[in-house]
Amino acid sequence: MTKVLLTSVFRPFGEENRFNKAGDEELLDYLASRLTREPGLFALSSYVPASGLHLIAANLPAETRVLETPSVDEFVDELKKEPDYVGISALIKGFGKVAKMISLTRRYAPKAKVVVGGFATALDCMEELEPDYISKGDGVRFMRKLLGVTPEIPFVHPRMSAEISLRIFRDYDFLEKETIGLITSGFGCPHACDFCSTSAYFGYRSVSFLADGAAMYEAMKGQCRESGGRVRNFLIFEEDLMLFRQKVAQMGDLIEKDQRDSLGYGCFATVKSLSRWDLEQLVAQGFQHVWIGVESMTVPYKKGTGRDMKELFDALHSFGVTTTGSVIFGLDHHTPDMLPLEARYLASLYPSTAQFGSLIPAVGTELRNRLEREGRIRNTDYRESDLFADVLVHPNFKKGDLKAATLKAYDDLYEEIGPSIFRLFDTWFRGYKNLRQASRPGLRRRADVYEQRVRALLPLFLQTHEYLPNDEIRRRVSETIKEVTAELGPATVTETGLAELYRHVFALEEAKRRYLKPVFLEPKLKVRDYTPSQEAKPPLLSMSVA
Amino acid sequence: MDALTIEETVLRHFAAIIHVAPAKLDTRANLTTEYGVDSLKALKLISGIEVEFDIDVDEKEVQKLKSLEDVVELIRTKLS
Repeated sequence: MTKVLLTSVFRPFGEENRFNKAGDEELLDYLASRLTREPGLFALSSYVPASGLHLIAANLPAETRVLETPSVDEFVDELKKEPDYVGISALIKGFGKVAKMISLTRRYAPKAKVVVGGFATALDCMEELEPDYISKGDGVRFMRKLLGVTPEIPFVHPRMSAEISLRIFRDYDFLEKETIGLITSGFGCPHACDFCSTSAYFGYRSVSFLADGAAMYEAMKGQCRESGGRVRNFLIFEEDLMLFRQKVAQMGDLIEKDQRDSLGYGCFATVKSLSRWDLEQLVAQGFQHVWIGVESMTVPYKKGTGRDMKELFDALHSFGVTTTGSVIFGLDHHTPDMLPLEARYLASLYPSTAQFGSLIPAVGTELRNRLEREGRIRNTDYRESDLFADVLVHPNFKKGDLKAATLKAYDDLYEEIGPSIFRLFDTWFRGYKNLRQASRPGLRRRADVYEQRVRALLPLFLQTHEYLPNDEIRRRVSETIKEVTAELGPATVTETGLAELYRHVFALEEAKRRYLKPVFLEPKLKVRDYTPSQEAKPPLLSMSVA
Repeated sequence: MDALTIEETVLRHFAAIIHVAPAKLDTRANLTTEYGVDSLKALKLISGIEVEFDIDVDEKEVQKLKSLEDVVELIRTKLS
């Protein structure tokens, strides 16, 4: 049988060398580096698996092994097992590593065909590295065709999950972490925002992996069942899920009718698509988090049309739906004076988590093409391709200004509306109060879920006031705790004990931050095997921290 | 590994990258001005020799390489 090896680029990431820039390791932590990038101790942490590789692996007529973050030696060990195909997935930042991995494959598995996929394939120069194949866009169908099967046979959704915890709790195994399941509905988006690398990568059209709402529900329910009910919350990958009315409605109906498990999901959506929905219906049917690209208070994108942005965020929060709001610095109309206003505008929306980023003219996008024509791309190397890169030439900003403004905006947001984890806590509590006496059972079930979350987070805020950013945030946290305990009862003995434990962990971590050099633990190697038309086996091998 | 073998291997790698016969390469010629080596070709060359000789080359070392002779010398130093 055909043997396929699919892999991400190799570690290390935290070592500055010709493959990595200083600080690259931080970018692996999706929450701490982006959505909860906060100066204090409350930042969240999560490492998202290489979903694309697992999605491909689960859907091939071949024995397929997926490697995530191997070392060079671990990659070579796999090459020596003589796979027929070696698939390497990389972001643009990983271009140099792809070059080395192709060389390694030619040496240690000379008969293997090399396929390169991922956003790095948007680079024209990828061909110069002479892989045997370049897979742009949908890798599942590409690999199926390559292996000689029809691309449209039914899809199997692999089980994928990510753990979330406070960043400072990450390495304390005795502190429980929240696990969320990851579901890939599809990619590609018709809004065609000029900067959007994902939309461009999928040719501005929708590529579906899960055909309908029933398949989405089954993917979630199956994972919930297999985890013994531990995984009930999911993040759905789709550029704008709420555009798919039939899919969402069908999935929602099934979630609402499910009396056993209160499944919930988060997704990406737009003001435009959300404006067409009754939020109450969505919430009763498991909708619990949404990432909305705010981009700018002047809303230059058509996806921002519909309900008033502030009114929509408030409405979502009133239902306990937590939000991620993101804005872009460096749009054509921006001046230095406008950026703090943009940041303040985002703060006024009270997003549960937030992202500030420089306008990134990603390769393959319309924005990139336009800026290249206008001579506004700074020559920079592939290693600098990330959210905070300074590759845009803007008449109103000097090199470095946008990055500095972006990082400052994170700090200012923290000072103004407090830690993300508190905003999540606060929003769930508001949702609980609003929905606990709703007539619709689906809404009352959401209130129950919110109540459990609020109770679980309460100990975190009981003895950590000194670590909050300022007196105003301390006052708000105190008031919310008073409200919570008045509503749900005082902290139990267990919760008080946990609060005590958290206080010690915070004190220890604060001391480490002050007096010790930061230590970065490289991600561990993850290996997972897939056999044709079967769900993945459990991980075969899990190596310790390198 | 002796210097001659190292040189032969380097020439073979580099010849494949710029698509000329190894015998036509001048080890003292400037890589950029004579052979049009840009960052991409340099990346391929360095990746190839790292794998072939099982060495690691850092960015500062790459920047100092002006000719194939320098490449050979760098490898020789690392292997010694």
